[in-house]
Amino acid sequence: MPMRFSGQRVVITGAAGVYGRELSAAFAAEGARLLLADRSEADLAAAVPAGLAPDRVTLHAADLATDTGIDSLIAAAIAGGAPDVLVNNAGIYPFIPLMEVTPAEYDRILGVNTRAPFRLMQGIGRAMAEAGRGAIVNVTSSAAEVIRGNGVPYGASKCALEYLTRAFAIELGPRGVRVNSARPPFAEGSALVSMPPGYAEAVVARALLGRGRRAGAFADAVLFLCSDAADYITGAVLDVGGGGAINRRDGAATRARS
Amino acid sequence: MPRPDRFTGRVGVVTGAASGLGRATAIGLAAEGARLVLFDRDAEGLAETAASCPGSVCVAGDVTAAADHARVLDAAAPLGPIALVATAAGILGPAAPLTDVAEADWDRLFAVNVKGTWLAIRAILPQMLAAGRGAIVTFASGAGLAGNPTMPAYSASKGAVVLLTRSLAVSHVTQGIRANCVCPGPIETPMLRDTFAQAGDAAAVAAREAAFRARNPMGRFGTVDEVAESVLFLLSDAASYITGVALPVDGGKLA
Repeated sequence: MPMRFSGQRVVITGAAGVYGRELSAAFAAEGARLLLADRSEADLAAAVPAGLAPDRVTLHAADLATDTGIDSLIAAAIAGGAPDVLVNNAGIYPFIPLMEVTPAEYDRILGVNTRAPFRLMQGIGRAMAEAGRGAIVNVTSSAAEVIRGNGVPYGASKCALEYLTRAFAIELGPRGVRVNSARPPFAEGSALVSMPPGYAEAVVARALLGRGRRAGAFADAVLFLCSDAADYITGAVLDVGGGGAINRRDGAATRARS
Repeated sequence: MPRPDRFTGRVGVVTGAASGLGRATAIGLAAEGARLVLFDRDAEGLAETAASCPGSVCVAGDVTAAADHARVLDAAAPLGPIALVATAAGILGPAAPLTDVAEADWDRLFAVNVKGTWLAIRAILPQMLAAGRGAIVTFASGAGLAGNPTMPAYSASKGAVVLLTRSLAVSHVTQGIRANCVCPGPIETPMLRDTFAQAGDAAAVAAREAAFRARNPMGRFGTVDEVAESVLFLLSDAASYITGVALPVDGGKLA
């Protein structure tokens, strides 16, 4: 298999999470040098792809809910030049019924899921534009399209992130930087707050490709969007949810409750 | 960069294979090991495409004729069950206000772009269902996702292709079939040049081309190979959890 990312510098946020690990392994397997960010140094150390030479990975612990954390990551990412790839993968998905969301929870979700990618796209995107090249993928969700009554701030944050994707695509396109959104399959274990029994199963059941997600399926799509094969694709949303976003079989009422 | 692992041993059908996006798709698939039935009304163009697609066979015919799709199945039979379909056949029709579109032109446009896509799928789908496996990529357009003042009739026909594809995806997803569409923006093809040419005199043609370029965030037109790369991705196992999507390949025009 050809190595599509040999020597490229790839920044991945939320690198210790379900998809962060999948993305790190996939980019590493195709020759990339990684800058992995997450909140906990220990979690990051455990997430480094097996067998990856130490000189090909840098770990950066930062809390993207804070400007200090965001600023430190931007500085690390552009030290020594603009990275080739930024994947805004970090996100939080607390399970909260709509009418019980507190202002503090709302701000925290929008902060990590929307404000942090916004600032990272400004800071790292600016360096990419000066270099005249770069690819950014924002990890969004079919929740941007399908209402989940217990994940409304999350869905709103992902809607906003898809909007930001388009705005940054237009802003940075003339300067050689592509910006796209990719929606992963639902993965249990990516939520900070545990979900009630049956909830994850109900969301997974929405997917039309019923066999469940294949490990690596999401990374395959993200790597495609970051590769030269996608060099005329920008401002797009690629849904890797097995058709869940176009599922209208269970009716609007059920969708609002799920 | 060809990845020979992706399509070796698979049989595919490409409509509109004599030129442009269809030709680039066919050449890309063949380079990665697929054996193809190439379908187009232009026999000479088909032969040129086939020269770059080892192991392929050609069927010259009309996508609006069901009988010609039956001939595609006959041609594919010796190769094996059809696992891949790319429906690139399409025409631009009049790039004119809706009030200026002749009824015959409207009918021809929908016959080729919509009925032709449906007929190809209707012919091949039973084989895929029997095998429990199949990947389909239809060719819509950025103009199929947003209203288009330059070519409104074409836009309507491509919008139909998008929902034909999504309906196909939701109808047969539990039977192993994936269906997606690519939505090319301005791609350097004879069709794009025709879009400009229909603007009128030389000044109007130049103005339309300049406007298309100016509206594009990347500030350039795409290449047929850039579209083919996306078609190959969507047909490949790397996209095994992707169905019902309309993927723009448009330099950010729709953003």
